[in-house]
Amino acid sequence: MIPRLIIITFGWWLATGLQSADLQLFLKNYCVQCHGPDKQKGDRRFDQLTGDFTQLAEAEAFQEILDQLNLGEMPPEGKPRPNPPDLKLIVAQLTESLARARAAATENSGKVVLRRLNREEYRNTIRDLFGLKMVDFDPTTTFPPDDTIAGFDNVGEGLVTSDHLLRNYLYAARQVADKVVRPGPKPEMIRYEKANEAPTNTLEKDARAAAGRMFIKFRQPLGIMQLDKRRGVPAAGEYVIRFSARAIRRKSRYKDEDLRYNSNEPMRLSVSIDSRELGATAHRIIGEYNIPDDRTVEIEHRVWLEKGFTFHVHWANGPHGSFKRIMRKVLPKYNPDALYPARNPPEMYIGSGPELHVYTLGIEGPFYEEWPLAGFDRYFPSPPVSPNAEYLRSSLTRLANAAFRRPVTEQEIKPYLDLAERYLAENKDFWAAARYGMRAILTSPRFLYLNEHAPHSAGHKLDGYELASRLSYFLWSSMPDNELRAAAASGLLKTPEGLRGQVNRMLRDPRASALSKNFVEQWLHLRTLGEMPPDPETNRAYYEDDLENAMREETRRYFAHVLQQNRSIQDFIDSDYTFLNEPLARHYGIPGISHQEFRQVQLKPEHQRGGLLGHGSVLTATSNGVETQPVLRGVWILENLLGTPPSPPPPDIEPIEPDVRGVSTIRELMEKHRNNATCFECHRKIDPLGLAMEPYDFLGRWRDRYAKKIPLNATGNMPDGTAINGPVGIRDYLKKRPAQFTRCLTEKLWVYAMGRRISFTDRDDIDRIVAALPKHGYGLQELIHQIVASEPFHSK
Amino acid sequence: MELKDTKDQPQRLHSLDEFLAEQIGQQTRFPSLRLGANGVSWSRAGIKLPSDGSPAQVFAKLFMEDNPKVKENQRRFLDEDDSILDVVHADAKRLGARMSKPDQIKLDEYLTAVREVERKLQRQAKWIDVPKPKANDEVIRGNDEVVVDLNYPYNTPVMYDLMVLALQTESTNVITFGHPGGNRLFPFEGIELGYHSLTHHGKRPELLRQLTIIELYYTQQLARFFDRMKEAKDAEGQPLLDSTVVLFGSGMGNASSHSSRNLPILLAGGGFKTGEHHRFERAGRDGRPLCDLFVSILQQLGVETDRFSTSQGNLNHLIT
Repeated sequence: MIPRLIIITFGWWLATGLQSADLQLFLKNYCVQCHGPDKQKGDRRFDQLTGDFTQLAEAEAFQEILDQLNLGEMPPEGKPRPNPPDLKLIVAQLTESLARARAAATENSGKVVLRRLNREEYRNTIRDLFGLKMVDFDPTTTFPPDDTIAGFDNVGEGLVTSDHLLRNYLYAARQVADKVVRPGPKPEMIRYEKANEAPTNTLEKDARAAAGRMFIKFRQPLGIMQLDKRRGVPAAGEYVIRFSARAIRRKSRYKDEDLRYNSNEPMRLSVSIDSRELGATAHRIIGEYNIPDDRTVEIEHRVWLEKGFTFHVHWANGPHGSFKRIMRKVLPKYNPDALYPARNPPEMYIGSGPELHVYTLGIEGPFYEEWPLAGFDRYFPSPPVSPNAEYLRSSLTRLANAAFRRPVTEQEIKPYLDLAERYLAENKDFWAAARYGMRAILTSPRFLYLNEHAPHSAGHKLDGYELASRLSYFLWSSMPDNELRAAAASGLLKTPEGLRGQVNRMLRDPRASALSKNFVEQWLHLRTLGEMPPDPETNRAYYEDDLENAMREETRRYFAHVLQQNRSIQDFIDSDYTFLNEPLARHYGIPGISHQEFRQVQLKPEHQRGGLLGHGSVLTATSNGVETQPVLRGVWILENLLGTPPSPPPPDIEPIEPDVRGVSTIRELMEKHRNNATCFECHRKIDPLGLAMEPYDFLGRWRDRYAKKIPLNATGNMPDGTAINGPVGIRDYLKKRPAQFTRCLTEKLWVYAMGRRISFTDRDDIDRIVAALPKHGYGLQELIHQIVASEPFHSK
Repeated sequence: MELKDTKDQPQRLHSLDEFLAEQIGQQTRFPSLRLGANGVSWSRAGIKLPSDGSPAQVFAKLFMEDNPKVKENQRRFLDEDDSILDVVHADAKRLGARMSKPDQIKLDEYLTAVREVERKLQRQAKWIDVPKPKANDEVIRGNDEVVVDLNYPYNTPVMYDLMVLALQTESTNVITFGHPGGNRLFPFEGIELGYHSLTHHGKRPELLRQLTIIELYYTQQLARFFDRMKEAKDAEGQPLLDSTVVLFGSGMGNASSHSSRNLPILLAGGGFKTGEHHRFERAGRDGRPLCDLFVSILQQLGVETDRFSTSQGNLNHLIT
């Protein structure tokens, strides 16, 4: 007894007190000979390291040392190597120290770094600021994607403002201003509909008259002459372009090579827009359509057109080259009468080769549901006949108050108003000046960033307006609405009942769908869905049934349901229901579903589904379109359900190449992880989870065995030793430990709600919430209430 | 160095072409040209930059003159935006005065961005009045004799032709071209699976056979590009290839396992010593980071530096 006691105590002392000495000894024995004062192989020197992980250069050096040890690259063969237990100890120490150093380096002590609107938030804010329908209008299409921190793209630290983005902001602001500032009466609608147009060439006219319809001559554009003559549409707005067309004689007696044309492709009609005023560089193709052979298709294409733009349709994949070439070089090969090229009339060819017939062509618009536009009326109500500088200043002030999300002082708004007024004085164009002022406001840091001006003392409280913004960007990914703003102004938002009431209202509002979309997609890593799509030839249903979108929809609706009904968050682990349409049900092998639209569906055990682990979205996103990736799935479960993400792997790890010739299963290949003690340290936690998920294939279908009748083994052990078998095993494990998932989801929602990483200062609040939630049936709404009511949510 | 290592220091993602554009690209209308459906360029701030995959649009950008009305608009917008930037810059400084230190550091990004945009706007304004070089649009339209197919993947030779024109007309000195990936079906005889599916061949001979067909096509296009670069002459009458460094390769040595070791890299032109195959052993002791090659390229192009990103040296002893 006594010897054992002494040894244990001795061991503890070693581990905590002499770490630095352990490291120094290790370096001296195994590294410094080649990386020290005498020699610096690979330009590396380690004898001067002190073990102070707070110094970036030291931390980087040790990270590299750790990576080389994990890879087994160092020490190299032929040089003294540590024995496995020593190696394991040093690796464990280094991993622990580096993890702590990383956490310390990114520690924010509970403070949010100045956070700019991300792309989604910008778009939604524009939508709500101006009451715009963003269906055909998206000023953010060229914005660079936002970086994620801790898995979310609304974390202040990670949202960088680059010159590239700023240029995009300037351009977007111009588009928005042009769209919103529309003074004057409602534009009159135009409507052109043509069924036949007189061509200029009489011979062709006869030929066409005989045929009784319009058609597109090879690659020449077909348009509406009246529109072109009038120099395009008279007013900017949404237009509908309509046409009906049919492919005639796609395969004809002429050989493809002669026509320089591919008769195997369906005929394709493209729609383009042009502006005579702006010239050739304004030309844009806005849509392409396949035209069927066997029937006439009618198409409606909605598009936003600026004033002065016109449109044309083209036969995008018609025969190449000119009509002249056809008549002179092709026709004589097929028609012995066509011996005199100069005199061959077109009708010798017309009616014999492929033709794209357009029967009707029309345009109508602009369409406006309301006038004046809501966004215009809001900031420029009842404009006087001759608006002046006074009206300019008051309107822009109105806008700034809304856009900056708090009442602006005269001093704050003065530079913007002066800018706009100077423009008005120079150009005498009121509405151009109004747009100009709007553009400046939309480029201001007061608009682009969530400003929380509280001075940097610990725990300073947000004021009502700052709280309102944090709340609305959490639940709606957008700006506060009038009611929330009023609650902030009156102080109601600072009362517990007032706050709770607003949260309830906001969760019932349609804008809460942003939570189901943005939070869920990032929590569950679903944004990568679609990056590695399966092979189209062998997975037709995936494309024909639009399964990718169906999978997303299932998960989105599931979350929305748990949210709206305040159901237990444990439903994410397992439940007896989900949301399916017929194609997705068929994909899952669930019989008896015939509805094409999504509906709640009851699940039975034999369906092998239940909770997020049975969602096709998750299962497909954790595969690569060709095969499953158990390590990826294992990591996913650790990160997003258990809340215990593994350390990152060493760099340059040679990935396992799956042997799809069927000689070994993925389980057998992953056995290699056991060969290396340090690899296995992490992989013993990852691999069993991933392998237990193997019954779901790379598109989430259930299978009892692999191809070629190779048996599937889904057994394994959780990190704490509990035995599991298949996905049901993982679900059961988590159901017995509800606090674990509760903590995981709380932490995820926390990051998303606060817009920052979790800090050590959050521990107590999170512990409190995790302990309290069971008393509320683990309701998801209640979890949100608790987070919103917590002190960190009210603090800078 | 992996993408996730650069999370806290996105500036580490600054790619070679964008770095070069700063060094040798300032005298041309376009400091760099990014082509192809796949972007491979990162700015100094660590932002992934978009690239243009449409030959027609690239042609318009390089060679189509905007009409006077458009130019007038451009001048006006540049001027207006410049004034807006002055106002927001000053306002940001006012705003920053009341912020905590970490927030001020974040706001600095905004201030730097404003200054950088102003610089670029002024640069752009100067080029508005410089006429663009002329080029025959048959390169994207074809004519009675030559068919030009802009459909995937046949737009590859068209892009290469545009690259030659861009260099010949001194529109730019730095070009990147990312071949499209995705899982589309190559329209060639004998191809039955999507491109991405084929790259996950798992050593199956049937998939390797099909993959070879695609890769042969792309290599043939590269060879054709080299021929054009040898035929085309620069301002001094020398083959364009002699004064142009061409780097061709992939970020993966084995796409089937997603390994980024043992990269296949081809270097041509630029006055380098070529015609040899240099083998490098695995990473670790004898391995070489690709950035060592980049350092040699930078030096060859007259940039005074002896390191770039993760470089540990250079490859001058092999190629100069």
